[in-house]
Amino acid sequence: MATNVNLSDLSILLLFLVGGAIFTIGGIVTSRLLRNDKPNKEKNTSYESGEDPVGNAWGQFNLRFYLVALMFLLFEVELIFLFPWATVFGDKQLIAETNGVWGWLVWFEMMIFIFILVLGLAYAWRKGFIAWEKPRQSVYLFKSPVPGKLYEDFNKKMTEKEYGRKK
Amino acid sequence: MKQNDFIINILIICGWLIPLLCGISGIFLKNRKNSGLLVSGALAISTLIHSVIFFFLYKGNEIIAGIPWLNIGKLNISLDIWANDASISMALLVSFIATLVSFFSRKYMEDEPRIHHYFSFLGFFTFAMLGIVWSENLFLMFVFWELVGLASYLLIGFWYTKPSAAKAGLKAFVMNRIGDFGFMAGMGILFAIFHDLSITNLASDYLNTSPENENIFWIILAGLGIFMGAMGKSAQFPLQVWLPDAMEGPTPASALIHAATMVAAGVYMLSRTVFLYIGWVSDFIVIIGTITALIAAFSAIKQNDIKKVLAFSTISQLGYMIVAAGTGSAGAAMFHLFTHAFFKAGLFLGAGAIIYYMHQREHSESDLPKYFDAQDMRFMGGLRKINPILFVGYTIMTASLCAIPFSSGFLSKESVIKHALIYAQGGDFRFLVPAILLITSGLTAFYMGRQWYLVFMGKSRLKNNTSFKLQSLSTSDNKQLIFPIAILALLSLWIPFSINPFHANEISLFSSLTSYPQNIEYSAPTWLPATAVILTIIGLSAAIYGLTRRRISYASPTFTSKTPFLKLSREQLYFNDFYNLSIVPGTIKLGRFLEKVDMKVIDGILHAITIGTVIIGQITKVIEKYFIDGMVRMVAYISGVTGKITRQMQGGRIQLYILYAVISIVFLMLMFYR
Amino acid sequence: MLLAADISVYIDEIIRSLPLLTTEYTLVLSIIAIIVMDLLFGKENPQLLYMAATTGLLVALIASINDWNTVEGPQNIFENMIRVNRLSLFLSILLIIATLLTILITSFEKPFKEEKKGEGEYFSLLTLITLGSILMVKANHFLMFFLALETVSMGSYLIAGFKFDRKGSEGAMKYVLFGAFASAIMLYGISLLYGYTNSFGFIDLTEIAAQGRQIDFGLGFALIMIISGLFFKISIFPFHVWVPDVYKAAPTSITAFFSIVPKIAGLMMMFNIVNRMGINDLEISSISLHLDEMLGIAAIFTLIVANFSAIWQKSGKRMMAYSSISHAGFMMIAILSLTEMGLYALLFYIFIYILMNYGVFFILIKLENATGSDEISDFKGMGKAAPVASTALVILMISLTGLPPTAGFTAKFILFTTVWENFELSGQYIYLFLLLIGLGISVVALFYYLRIPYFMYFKESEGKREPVTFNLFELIFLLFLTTPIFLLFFQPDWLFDVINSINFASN
Repeated sequence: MATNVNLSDLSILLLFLVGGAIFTIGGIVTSRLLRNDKPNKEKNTSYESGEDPVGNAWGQFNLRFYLVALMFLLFEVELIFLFPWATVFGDKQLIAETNGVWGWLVWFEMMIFIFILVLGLAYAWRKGFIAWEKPRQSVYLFKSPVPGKLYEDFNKKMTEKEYGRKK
Repeated sequence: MKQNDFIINILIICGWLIPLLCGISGIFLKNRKNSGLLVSGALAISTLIHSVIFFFLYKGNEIIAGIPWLNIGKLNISLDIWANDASISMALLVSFIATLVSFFSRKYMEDEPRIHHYFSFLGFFTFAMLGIVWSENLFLMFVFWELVGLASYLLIGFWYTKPSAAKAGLKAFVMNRIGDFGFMAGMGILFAIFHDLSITNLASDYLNTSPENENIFWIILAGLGIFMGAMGKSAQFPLQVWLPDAMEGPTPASALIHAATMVAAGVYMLSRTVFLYIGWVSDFIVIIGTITALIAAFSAIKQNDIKKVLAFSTISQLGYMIVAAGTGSAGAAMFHLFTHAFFKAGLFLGAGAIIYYMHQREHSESDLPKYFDAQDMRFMGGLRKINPILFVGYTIMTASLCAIPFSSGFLSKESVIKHALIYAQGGDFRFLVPAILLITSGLTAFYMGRQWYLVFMGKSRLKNNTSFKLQSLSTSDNKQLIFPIAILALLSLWIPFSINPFHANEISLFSSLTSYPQNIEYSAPTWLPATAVILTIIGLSAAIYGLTRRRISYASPTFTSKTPFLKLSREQLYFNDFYNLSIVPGTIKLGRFLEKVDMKVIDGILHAITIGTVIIGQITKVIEKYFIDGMVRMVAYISGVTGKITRQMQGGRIQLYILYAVISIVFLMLMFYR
Repeated sequence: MLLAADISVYIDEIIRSLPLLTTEYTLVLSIIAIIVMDLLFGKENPQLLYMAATTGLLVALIASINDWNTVEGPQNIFENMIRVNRLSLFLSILLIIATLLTILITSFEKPFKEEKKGEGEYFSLLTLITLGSILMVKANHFLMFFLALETVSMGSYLIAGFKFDRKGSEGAMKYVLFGAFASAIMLYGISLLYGYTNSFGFIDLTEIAAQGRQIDFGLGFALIMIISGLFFKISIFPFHVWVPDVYKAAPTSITAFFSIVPKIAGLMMMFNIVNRMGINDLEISSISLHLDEMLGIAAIFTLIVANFSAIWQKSGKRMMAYSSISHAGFMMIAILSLTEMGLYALLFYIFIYILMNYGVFFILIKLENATGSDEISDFKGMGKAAPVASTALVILMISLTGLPPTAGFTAKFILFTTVWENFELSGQYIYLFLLLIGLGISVVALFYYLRIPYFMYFKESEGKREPVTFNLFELIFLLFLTTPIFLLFFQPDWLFDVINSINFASN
C-alpha cells in the first residue's frame, strides 16, 4: 500500500526497540534511585510465581496452576489472533471489491472463534475450575472419654505452675 | 422336462431344510420328549421326498441350479446344487439312515434331560450333510463341510460335563481343522488357476489341461490339498486318531455320523472330484488308504470296548474306499460306501442296543465287578439269548463286514479289491496294495469274529452265579431299538444291490452311484473272491477257536494269561501251535505296536504340534518380555550409567515402549540392507 | 499482500465448499449443544445428554447419507484441503454408525449407570473424535490430516481415562506419552516431505522419483516417519505396544470404540498414502528397502505377535485388544493390494468387523456386569447362566476366527483371494508369505477365540451363577448385530452392491 514500506517498517521497529529499552532501563534506574537498599537472602532470589526457583525439576506443582495457565491462554490466544485480524477486517478496499462479503466472512470467522473460547470459559466457570478452592479444613471428630473441663483445669494448673516458678 | 427339473429342485430344497427347521423348532418345544418325534418325522418326510425323487421323478439328466452369490471383479461364485444319480442316491442314503437312527435314539436317549438338544443337533447334522451331498461348488461344499464338522463336534461333546467327551470333541475338531487347512489351500490354488470353483466347470477345465501346462505342479498340488480335507473328515492315516475318541458321543450319533455318513463325506467328495487327483497324488491316495486299512485293522484286534472295535473297523473300511477312489474307481468306492453305511450303521445300533441292555443290568444288579464298564466286551457273553432278532441281525451285519458270500459287503469289497488289482498292473510295488487289502480282510474277519464270539457266544461272564436269568430285550417298548437294526440287517444282504450273490452288475450299479462315467472292462479272476473268502474263514475260525480254548476273565486282558499257554500248545494240532505261537502273539505284538504307533507317535506328533504352538507362543512371550525388553533395558542401563537423568525415569515403561518401537522400526528399515 | 482479485476467488471457493460439509457442521453443533446442555442441566437430567448426542449423530448420519446420494464425482473443496467422494462418505457413514453403537453399549455399562460423572464430556468427546475421524477420512492435505489426527488423538487421550481410577489414569497417561511421540515423528516426517516435494498434497511420488522408482534416503525416511505415526493409530507392529494397556484401562465401550473409529480413519489415511502416493512401488536405494516389503513384513509381524500374545491373555479385554491388533494386520494386508479388489476387501472387512466387534464387546459388558470382572476364567459356567449371550458369543467368535457360515469367513476369503491375485500379478514373495502367514494365523486364532466359550460351557463355576437375562431391547440389539453376520455370508452382494457403487477410478 504505502510506497516506502521497507524503510518505514524498519524504522518503526527501531523506534519500538529504542523506546522499549529506554522504558525498561529508566524504570530500573528510577527505582534504584528511589528505593531503600536493604537486601536480604529472600529478596535477592529471582521471582518465580511464589515458588522456590532452585530445586528439583521433578518437584510437584499444584495442579491448579495448570488450570489457571490454560484459562490465561484462552484470553491470550484470543488477543493475539484479534490483532492481526483487526488489521484486515476493516480493509475498505477488500470490502469494496467483494461487495461487503469479505467483512461478513471475516467477522463470522472471528465470532465463531470467540464463541468457542467463551464457551470454554463458561465451561470452566460452571464446572468450578476458576474458583481457587482453599484446602478443606477437616474437622477432627474425636470424642474423648475424658471431659474437656479436665484438660482446661490441668492446663491452668500447669501454666500457673510454670509462671509461678518463673516468677 | 424343465417343469420336472423345477419340481425336483423344489423338493430337494424341502427335503434339505425340513430337518433343520424341525430341529431348531424342537428346541423350543415345551415337552422336550416331543422333539424326538418331531425330528424323526421330519427325517422320515425328508426320506420320503428323496425316495420320490429317486424312484419316480428323476429321469437321469444332470440338474444344476442355483443362485449367484458373489460377484466382485473376477470373483464369481454361485451357490448351485448338482442333482444327478450319485447325489440323489446319496441323499436318500443319508436321510434314510438318519431316520432309522433318530427312531432308535428316541428310545435310547429317553432318560436324557437334554434330549431336545440332541435331536436338534441331529437335524442340523442331516441338513449340513445333505449340503455336502448337493453342493456343486467346492466353496459351498466347504461351507457345509465345516458345518458337518461343527455338528460332529457338538455330538461328540454332547455329554460335555464328562471331561473325556469334551476333550474328544476338541480333538476331532482340531484334527479336522488340519485337513481343512489343506482343503482351503487346494481351493485357493484351484481358484487362482481356473478362477472358478464349480466342480463341473473344473472337470472340463481339467480335461483341457495338458501335462505341459506351466501350472501343472500347482494343479497336482491342489488335488493333494483337497484330498487332505478328505483325510481329515474320513479319518485317514495319519489323521485317524480322532475317530476312536469320538466314540465318547451317544451311540446312535456314532452310528449316523462316525460310521455311515459324515466320515464317508470324504469318500463322497473324492468321488465327486475324482478328476482332480492326477499324477503322483493318486498313488499317494492309494498308499494312504492302504496304510489306514491295515493299521486300523491291526489296532482293532486288541480293543475290548465294543464301540472302539467298530470305530477301528470303520477307519479300516474307509481305507478301502479311499484306495478305490485313488485307483480312479469312484464307483467301487461309492459302492462300498453304500454297503458299509448299511451294515456299519446297523452294527453301531446293535452295539447301542447291547450297551442299553448292559446299562439296565448295571442299574438292576448290585454286586458288579469293580471296574464294570457297560461297553467292555469282556463283561458280556451269551447275549444271543436276550433277543433273537438282534442276534441274527448282528450276525448278518458282521458277516457283511467280514465279506462272507451272500452279503452286500462281499460284493463291494470284491469290487474294491478288483480295482486294486487293476491298479497293481501298473507295476513296481503296486501288487502290495491288493495283497495288503486281502490280508486286511482276513484281519477284519478275525476281530469281528472275536467280537461276535465275545458278545454273543458262551455264557455271561458277568456273574459266577450262572442261575442269573438274562433279561429279555424283546418287550414291546424295546421294539423301537430292534426295528431299525432289523431293517439294516436286511439291507446288508446281497439282494438290494445285486441279484447274483457272487457278483454285482457293476455297469448299472456304478452308473447310478457316480457322477462321472467309468470304464468297467476287467472282470475279477476267480481266485480273487476265493482267496478273500478263504482268508476270511481263516480269520473267523482263528478268532473263535482261540477264544473257545480260553477262559476269558475281565480281571485280565484277553490272550495274555500264561498258564494255559504251554498246555494248549502241547494239546493242539499243528495249526493251533502255529496259530498260537506265531500268528496270535505276532499279531498281537504287531497290533499292540501299531496301536502304540497310533497312539504314541501320532498322538505325539499331534501333541508336538500343539506344544509347538504353545512353545512358539511362549517364545514370543519370552522374546517380548526378556529379549526385546532386555535389550531395551540394557540400553536403558547404559544410559543410566552415563547420565543422571535415568535415575529420574521412574517405572519408565512408556519410555521403553517407545525405545522398543524405534529399535524395531530401524530394524524393519535395515533388514534388507546389503 | 493479498490482492483483491485473489480474495474474491478465495471467497467463492469457500462459499462453494461450505454446503458439502453438512455432516461436520451437524457434529460441531451437537458438540456445542451437548456442552451447553451439560452446563445448564447436566446434573439433573443426564438422560438429555444421551438424547442430544444420539440425535446429533442421527442427523449427521442423515446428512451423510444425503451427501452419499447426491455427490457423484469427487469434489475437492477448500483449496484441495478436503476431498469429498463416495468412498469417504461411505466411511463417514460407517464411522457415525460405529459411534452410535458405542453410545448404545455405553448405556449398559456399569460405571455410567452408577456414577453420574462426566457424561457431558464423555458424549462431547465421542462426537469430537467422530468429527476428527471423518475429517481425517476426507483430508486431502497433510496439514488438514494432521489437524484431524490431533483432534482424534486429543479426544482419545481424554476419553481413555474415563474410568476415573488409578489404572485408567495410568493407561491414559501412557496413551498420551506414546501418542505424543508418534505425532511428533509424524509431524517431522510431514515437514521433511514438504521439504523434498514442496507440496502438502498426496502427490504421486513415483513421478518425481528417479529412474527405477528409487528415492533417496531422506525422502524415504520422511515417508517411514509418517507411516510410523499411522502405525500408531492403527496399531501395527512395532507401534502396537500401547494397545493392550490402554484398552484394558479404558471403559469397555470405549475399548470397542477405539478398536473401530480411530482405526478406520487411520486405515483410510494409510490407503491414501500407499495407493495415491504410490508408495508400494518405491525403493529406498541407499538401504535397499522396498517400502511395500517393509509394510508387508510389519503386517506379518503384527499378525504373529498379536495372535501368539493373545493366546496367553487372561483378561477378555486384553485378548480383544490383541485381536484388534491382529485384525488391523489383516486390514493392512488389504491395503497393500495392488488392485481395486483390495479396497473391496478392506471395506467389506471393516463393515463386518464393526458388527463383530460391537457384538463381542456388548456381551463382554453384560458378562462383566454379571461377574464383576473381565477375567476369562471368571466366565466359568456362564453357558448355563447366560445361554443367549453365550450362543451369540460363540457365533461372533467363529466369525472373528473366520470360519463359515459367517461373514467373517467371507471377509477373510475375499482378502486372501486379493493377496493371491497380487502374488500372481507381481510375483513378489512377500504376498505369498502374507497369504501363508494369514492362513496359518487363522488356525492359531481359533485357540484363543474359542477360549471364552470353552470356559463358559465346559467349566463349572464353583458358586451358583446369577442368570443373565436380556430384555427385549437388548435382544433386538444383539440380533441386529448377529443376523447380518449370517445374512452377509449368504448374500454378500447386498453389501457389495453398495461398495460397488463407489467409483473407485476416482477415489
